[in-house]
Amino acid sequence: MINNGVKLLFLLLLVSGLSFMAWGIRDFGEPDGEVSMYDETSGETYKVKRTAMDDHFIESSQSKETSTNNAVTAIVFDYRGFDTLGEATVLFAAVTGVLVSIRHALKSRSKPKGGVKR
Amino acid sequence: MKAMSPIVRTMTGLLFAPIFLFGAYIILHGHLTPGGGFQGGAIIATGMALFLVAFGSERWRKKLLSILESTGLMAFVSIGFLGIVGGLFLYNFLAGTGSPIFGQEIAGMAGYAHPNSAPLLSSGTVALLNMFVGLEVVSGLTLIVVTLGLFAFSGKEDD
Repeated sequence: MINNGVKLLFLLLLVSGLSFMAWGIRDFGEPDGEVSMYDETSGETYKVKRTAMDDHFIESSQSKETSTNNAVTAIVFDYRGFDTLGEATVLFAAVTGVLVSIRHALKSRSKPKGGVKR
Repeated sequence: MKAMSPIVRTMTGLLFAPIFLFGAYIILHGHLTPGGGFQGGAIIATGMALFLVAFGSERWRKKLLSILESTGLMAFVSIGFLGIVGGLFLYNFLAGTGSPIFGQEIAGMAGYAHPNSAPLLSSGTVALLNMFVGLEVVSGLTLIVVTLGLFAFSGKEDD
């Protein structure tokens, strides 16, 4: 058994390490990028500032990188596929929990009907 | 839970096919239209709940449902490991290769993002993952509903 002092020390170390890492995360949406848009009424092209990550998803999810027409599904099942795996695992764990607990209750409910009273 | 009256059973038999078809459409077109494995699976599971209410909770093959659910998750992870061929876990190694299994390219997409048409057999592993997630969601939610139905009505004989 580890005593409580060691546990507290470990917790403090973890919290301080994670806070230090969170301090170093760059701003949301960095780095910036530019995309050229086409105006149909005036016939001119102009530049729009967006984040480089958005541009990458919007432009290459429908092209050869995933060739998925639905860009949302391309992100959920391809770029963030690991997250979807976690979601499926959560559902699996929920079903397992329901089965384990309810099956136990069903068994204990049907047992005393036959003979021995507890 | 006992089976309900013949009227309810007949209407369930009529309604189940459209519900199943709609859910299967949502799952199979997950890479083309809004929706996907989770949403379509929930729709089919709703039809299964209707079946449970109409026909009772006694004769369900829970072992088969459990096996199907595990198969869905195992196939998801297996496709993820097959992606290591392309270098990464869950890498989309089929997209745009021209293979008959969901490998077709989307035409006319030179750097522009605009609405366009796409063949059903595009998108590589995304469609396969949608299908297996749909299988898992259908069997998992059905298993939950059937087990809870058994639990709620197992004690009472007369109702």
